[in-house]
Amino acid sequence: MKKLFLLCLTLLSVVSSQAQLAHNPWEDSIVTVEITRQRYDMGQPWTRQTATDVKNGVVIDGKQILTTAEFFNDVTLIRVQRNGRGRWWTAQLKWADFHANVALLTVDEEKFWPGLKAAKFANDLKDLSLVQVVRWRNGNMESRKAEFNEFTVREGKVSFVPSTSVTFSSDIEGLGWAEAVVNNGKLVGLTTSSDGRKFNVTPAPFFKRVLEAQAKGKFTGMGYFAFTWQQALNPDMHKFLGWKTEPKGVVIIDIPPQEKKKDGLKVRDLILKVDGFDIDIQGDYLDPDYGHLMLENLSSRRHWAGDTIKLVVWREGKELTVDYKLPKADYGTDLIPKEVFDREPEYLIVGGLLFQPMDGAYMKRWGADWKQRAPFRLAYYDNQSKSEERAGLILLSAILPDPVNIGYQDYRFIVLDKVNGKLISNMTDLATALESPKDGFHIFEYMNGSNIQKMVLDAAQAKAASIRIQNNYGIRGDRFILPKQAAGH
Amino acid sequence: MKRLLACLLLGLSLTAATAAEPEKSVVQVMTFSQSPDWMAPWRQSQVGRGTGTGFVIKGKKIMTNAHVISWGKQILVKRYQDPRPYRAKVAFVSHECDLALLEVEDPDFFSGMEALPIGELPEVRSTVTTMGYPAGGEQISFTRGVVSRIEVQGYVHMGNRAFLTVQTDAAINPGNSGGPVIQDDKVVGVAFQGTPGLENTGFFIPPQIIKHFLKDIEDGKYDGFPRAGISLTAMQNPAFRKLLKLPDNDVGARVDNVLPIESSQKVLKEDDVLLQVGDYRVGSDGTILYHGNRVSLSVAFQEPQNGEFIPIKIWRDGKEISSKLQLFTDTEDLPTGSQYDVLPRYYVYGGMVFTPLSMDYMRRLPRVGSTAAMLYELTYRRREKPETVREEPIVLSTVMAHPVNANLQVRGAVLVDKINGIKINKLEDVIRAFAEAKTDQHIMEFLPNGGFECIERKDADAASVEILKTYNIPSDRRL
Repeated sequence: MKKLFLLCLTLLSVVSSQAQLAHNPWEDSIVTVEITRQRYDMGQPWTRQTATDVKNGVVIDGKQILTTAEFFNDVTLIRVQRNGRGRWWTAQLKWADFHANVALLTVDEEKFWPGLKAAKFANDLKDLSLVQVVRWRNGNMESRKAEFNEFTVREGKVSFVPSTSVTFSSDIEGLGWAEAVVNNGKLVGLTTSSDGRKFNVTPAPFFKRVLEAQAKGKFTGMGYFAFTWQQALNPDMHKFLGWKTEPKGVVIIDIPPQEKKKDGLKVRDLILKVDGFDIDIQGDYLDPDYGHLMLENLSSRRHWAGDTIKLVVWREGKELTVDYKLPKADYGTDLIPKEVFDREPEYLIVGGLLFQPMDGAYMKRWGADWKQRAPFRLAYYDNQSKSEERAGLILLSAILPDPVNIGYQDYRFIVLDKVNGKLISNMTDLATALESPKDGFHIFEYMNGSNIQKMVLDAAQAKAASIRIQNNYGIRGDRFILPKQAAGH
Repeated sequence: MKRLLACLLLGLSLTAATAAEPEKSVVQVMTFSQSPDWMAPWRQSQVGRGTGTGFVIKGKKIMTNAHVISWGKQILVKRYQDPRPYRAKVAFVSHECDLALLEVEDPDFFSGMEALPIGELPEVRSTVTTMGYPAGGEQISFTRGVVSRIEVQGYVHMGNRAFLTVQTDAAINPGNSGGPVIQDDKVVGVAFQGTPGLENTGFFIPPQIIKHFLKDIEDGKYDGFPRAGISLTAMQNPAFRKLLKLPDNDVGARVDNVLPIESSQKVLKEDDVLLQVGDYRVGSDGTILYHGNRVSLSVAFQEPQNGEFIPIKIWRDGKEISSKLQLFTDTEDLPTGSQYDVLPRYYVYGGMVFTPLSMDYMRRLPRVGSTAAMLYELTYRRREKPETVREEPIVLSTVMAHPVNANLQVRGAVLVDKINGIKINKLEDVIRAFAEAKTDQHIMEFLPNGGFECIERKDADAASVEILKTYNIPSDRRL
């Protein structure tokens, strides 16, 4: 009897505290976003699965919803929900940039918008004493306190380009899905990732700059510094470089082949200034808004791809000013493209031999940390650069056993060098090479050091086996190859 | 008088019984060892104690496993039911096939012990008995089982070699190592390894490998097992056979790649098909029929001694041709496996410790970005870009902290490219590059990203002795 009474009391107290909840103004600006997208099975690139993820968005001016770009690749359906409950509304992706990690959504149905209020961006992040994280949770607005840790520069969640990030800590769990971080009624930023109690936030002023540039058609993409530098903490290094006064700057140690220009930067240049900011021996500059930050941030602080930035360097006893044109961030710059978005996976099957491009999408078969987990030799290609003759790699990823490929069935994960004598960089090269068999044979040569370096198929028999193999393994088509331009080759 | 007679009789019976009681020729081997610390190569580990088994063979030698005696500082052997320990030393060792021969200084040791004869490869399903001193007790232990299968397996002691191996379900446990496997009073194997996680599987080294080792050392020096220096692949695809005009049967394995070994490149080229090696027909899956067992063709190439020729038949350009291939042992890949006997080479200058890149060194490193470049250098470069191989890639292993090097940002675990402009191909280059420097500063460049470091020459010279003293490093080098 006593127990029952207690229970009743508890229930009562819950009801009464709910009744007392004040309206949180952010309830009118925060929406839930649901994204359904194609997820490809790289082991069977002809099959399709879907994945649905839920994240958050903030209503901004112009009947738009701001969120981060992560998951907006290969999208089949986007829906949004207001008030954390009730009806889902179909939304449209207006614009997204993965390197900036910014996405804009809208909802065409007018009935969605009444009652929603555009959030105001914080102009600066000078006062972060009352920061809260807000999000919808089971139909109610969850609002939790967060403590500021530091301003830092980190690689984007889906990009290799570093930019400003703010680290906070909080007891709220599972952040990183564009939850709004707010302060004094203004948006401070959106979360991008979390690690235990800590979470990272892209600051609102960055979103503001991107959106303003985008609205004016002036957003040319994220630029970055393609060279590699090392810190100059060792005073002997300055002596070696002939720099005699107070040590400053960092030293360039590597420049990618495409950037090696006569009037450009040189290996062992001591970088003294970037875009007017002095660089210290750790590679930091003093940012007027965020304090000491890594020089990498200067590629996006007030510039976009294609802009020219002035770098002052010390070279062979002289100070020089070098105009550095910011290259545009592109996943395809590397021999193994880091990501492949909004493209169906390419493949080609010949005589049961399955060939696929070796790119980030494929390598993620071994998980996001594929550089540690993939077979060593495959992952090591990521340390190698594109060359003039080879812009990409094609992999024998599996063999679908059939009488035509008897003797080869145990081989996989080896990289093509040539087919029928022609060097192979992309799927179009492969398809073209297969049109010219040598005396009725297809000759596949793999990279030096592979555990098999040559395979031969009878071209006519391979062709005859094609339908049999497709039927046997439930495959729709022996190939999917993108037109050359779309494939980014 | 009566007593004496009894003694004599006993003595007689002992002698007569030895051949039928091989356990009396089985000894316990105790090794006290110290292995090097590959990160600080002047240091050695704490003294460890291990036990194994050995057996007497002709020439008053004890045969055991190499891994039983490796890095041994003192080796003691105990006879069957004899409490005395005798001091033994290594006469010959083969780390690749995990065999060693020991000598005992005290001539009394061998009295009353008969050498066990080495027999032939036992047949699959026949019964064998192992004898040894495995963990779990002090006395000799016998286990019996059948020969389960015979094939080529990796020998884990070095880790980068594979030879003919016999699998048995007779229990083989730690301490059994080096013990004889007996059939009809003859040694048909030396117990040496097991497979964790598999039940009733023990492995022993067959007579072929034992005899090869014994013949090898007849000239007083160990050379090792030769290799053909080729990669072979199966030749089972009908189209590939047709392209090479090879008859449609089960014979022949294709040479996929020839390593840059002069003797091999002289005789063989890619797309040659090996039809016969020595006495063995080569199957289309790259195996041979060896005493009734299908085993890898490598067994045939391992039969000759270093430098000997083996007759081969190859299919080239649609014709069968006969040739002979001279076979040599390969020592260039030693750093890719576990190494023994020779303490690691190193040179310490200004507190910077330089040592050759090896698998022994790499195993002590966490897998991080810079180790990928090392692993490539160690195991892939030779196969992929043989023309760019360095004789002995060198790593800056660690930096012993001292004011002279305190500002160096590189603190170790990096591959060295150049020092003072000199390309580093071996450890001696490091010494020369520092010694011959004329400028005020030493410049060290690292792989793979072109990072570099500078250190004042005079300061480093001056500090070197003090650093050795501070860290108790007995010598600045071991070459």
